[in-house]
Amino acid sequence: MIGKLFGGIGGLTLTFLQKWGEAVLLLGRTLRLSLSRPLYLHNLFYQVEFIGIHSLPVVLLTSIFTGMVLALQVFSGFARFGAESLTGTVVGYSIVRELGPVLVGLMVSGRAGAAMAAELGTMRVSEQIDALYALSANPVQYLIVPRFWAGIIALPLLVIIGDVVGIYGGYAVSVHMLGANPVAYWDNTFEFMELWDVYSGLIKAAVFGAIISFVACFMGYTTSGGARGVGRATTRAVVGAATLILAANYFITYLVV
Amino acid sequence: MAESLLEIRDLNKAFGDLVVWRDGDLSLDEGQTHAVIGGSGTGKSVLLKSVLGLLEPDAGSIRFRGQELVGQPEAVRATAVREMGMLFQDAALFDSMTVGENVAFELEQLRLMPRAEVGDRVAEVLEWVGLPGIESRDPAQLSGGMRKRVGLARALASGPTLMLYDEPTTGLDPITSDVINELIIYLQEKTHTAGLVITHDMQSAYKIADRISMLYRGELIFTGTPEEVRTTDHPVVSQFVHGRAHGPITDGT
Repeated sequence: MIGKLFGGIGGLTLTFLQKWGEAVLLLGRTLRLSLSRPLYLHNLFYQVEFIGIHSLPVVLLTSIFTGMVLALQVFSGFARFGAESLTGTVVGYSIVRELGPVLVGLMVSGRAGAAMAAELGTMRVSEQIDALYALSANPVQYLIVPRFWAGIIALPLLVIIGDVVGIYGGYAVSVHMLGANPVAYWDNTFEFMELWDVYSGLIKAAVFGAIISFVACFMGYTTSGGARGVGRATTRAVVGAATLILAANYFITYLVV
Repeated sequence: MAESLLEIRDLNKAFGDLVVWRDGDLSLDEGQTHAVIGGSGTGKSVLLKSVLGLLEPDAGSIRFRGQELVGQPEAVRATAVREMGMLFQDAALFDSMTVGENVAFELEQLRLMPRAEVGDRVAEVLEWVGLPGIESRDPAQLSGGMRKRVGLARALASGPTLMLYDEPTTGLDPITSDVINELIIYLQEKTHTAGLVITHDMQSAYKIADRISMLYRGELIFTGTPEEVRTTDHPVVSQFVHGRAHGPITDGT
């Protein structure tokens, strides 16, 4: 009984370490192949469009509602000690540094990450990845490298748009619903905001982009076991990316604050 | 004696406790076709994947044109892969591309010819497989037999010297199977390509192969011409090729 338990724990640990080892090796290959020809630029552009443009609607909706609810909460909360005038400052600061990158990251991992894992997983189980190899294309270079860099490029762009829309959402609620002074609101939003706040948000976005695309590619690329395997890979891609995003978010914040 | 195109010695491969290849020897001369037969799930496709480099054997040697492939760096393997073409079991066409883009893939990938000539070459190989003018079709619109033929055209486009066929007739009706068999023979005569075929379809093996080997419990237990295979009194081979429910394979003796 106890032997079985320890055996089970040991087995799980080994599987876990093996997965992480495989992931690190694949990441190493991805980075190494990023520097060598051919570059497959059309795949890169296509993926930037896929991750970036196609995620725009969901990013816009998430951002505007987040900005709005934040303004509502902060305004009513801060009114308790007469600090409503700081609403713009708090909304701007939290969106740019924290909520913008994290929410965009989570939404994109659900949309683009899942699709990417399902696509690569299907290619794996239908032997299309083996076919790429047989037709003299390096599958990592052809499939993973463009997706990896597209994530790093697209996420910061989405976050910039999300930040603008979120801040506007907060402004709209504060000024049009709660009666804040528009000029004072803008002043308060930007007076205490530093360029570094924006940069730190964009650094986070780039890291989240790398996490989303790499986790999705890894899960898809290593899929096994037919349709069920593809489903499993898709779930793991989303859960894995979301967890890593939240963990990475803490550590990046810790480092740059 | 001149060296064979493909020379496999002492191929060993196991997945955990399951030994799928034990000391496998096989050689193939240019222009020849060798079929490996065996039951489903006996690890036949491991052979093709090892030759291509998708799987690394546990031990043994695979020499292509005298060049060792096992344990070699990617660049060496890539050179060999350029000379090989593979027909996958379900054709493995890229569903994000048209038929024409599929067939042109390796030509564009390796820049084997100027852009302007790629289209002509694609049209030519599609003509060979009896599907002229379908370049703009979507692979999803094609039937199983057509997909196989497009897969064949794609593998042949860059002019390989060795073709690997993974169950070329599995899942096709008897007539379509025979069309594929005839096509393989026709293309091999036309392009002098050697072929390594894994199959459990005996009709197909008899028709297209110069030599046939049988894989059983990880070992190549018999190698001979189609006629020798047909008439052998080796109990295991005889049971398999004649498709009998009772015999050493099923009785576990």
